[in-house]
Amino acid sequence: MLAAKIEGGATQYYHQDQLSVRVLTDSNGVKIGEQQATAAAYNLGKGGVSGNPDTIDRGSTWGNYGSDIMLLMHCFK
Amino acid sequence: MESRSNERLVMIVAFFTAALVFPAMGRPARCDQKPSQVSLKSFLQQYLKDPRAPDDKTTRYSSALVDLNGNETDEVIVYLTGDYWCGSGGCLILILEPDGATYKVNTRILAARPPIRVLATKSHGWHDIAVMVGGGGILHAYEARLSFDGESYPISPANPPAQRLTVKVPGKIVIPVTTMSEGKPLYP
Repeated sequence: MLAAKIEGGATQYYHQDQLSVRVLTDSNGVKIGEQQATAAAYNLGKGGVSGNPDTIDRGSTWGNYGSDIMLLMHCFK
Repeated sequence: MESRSNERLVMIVAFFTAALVFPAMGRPARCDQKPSQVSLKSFLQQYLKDPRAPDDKTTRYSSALVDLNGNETDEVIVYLTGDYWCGSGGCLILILEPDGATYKVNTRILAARPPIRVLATKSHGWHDIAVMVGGGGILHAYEARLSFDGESYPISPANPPAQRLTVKVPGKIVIPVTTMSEGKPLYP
């Protein structure tokens, strides 16, 4: 559920139960990297994921944790 | 009338004298906390404030005072655990520098595992730090060396410029292996 929108439309916060996950959107409000950010958060902890779509995986294992899982998802389509 | 104002004056003087002599009056005595630890805790509470995780009660921290750069002032290595700060790769480390009465964050090291060691070797005048790397798809955990680059330490032990250590480098464990339930709670 969309809970808040930050001025400028670049970042939104979604809330689910007690957790809130920052969702990354482009300037048109299109969600990008939501799943990648979720996957990266599994590796880094939610507090380790940056709000910048270009650096979602920064600091994660091998530097590509989230995007690696995104690639893996294609195997199950 | 005069005696009443003298009485009031005596009371005021007594109050301020007591406040000077017993500055801690009115505060509960906390013999188990040193002043520096209290201020570190306050700093961390402020620094880690995040609208996404209001006061995550699972947050705990372990800290070590170490003079990393040989300037005779201790830096602080903080290892944070908790739901918000840990993932499959490990938890968050902060390297803090004293900044007047408070601290400034030199480096946030992501997805790291203890033990955290301060190595005898130095880079740009700062001691190298070693942490364990594991989880997140890494089958065999290993120790990585984080070297200061002149400004900060690498943010990720699992990626260059952090280096995998293949031999045991002399150093001292400053934060031992801890579980999520160890460390001091950051929030009441």
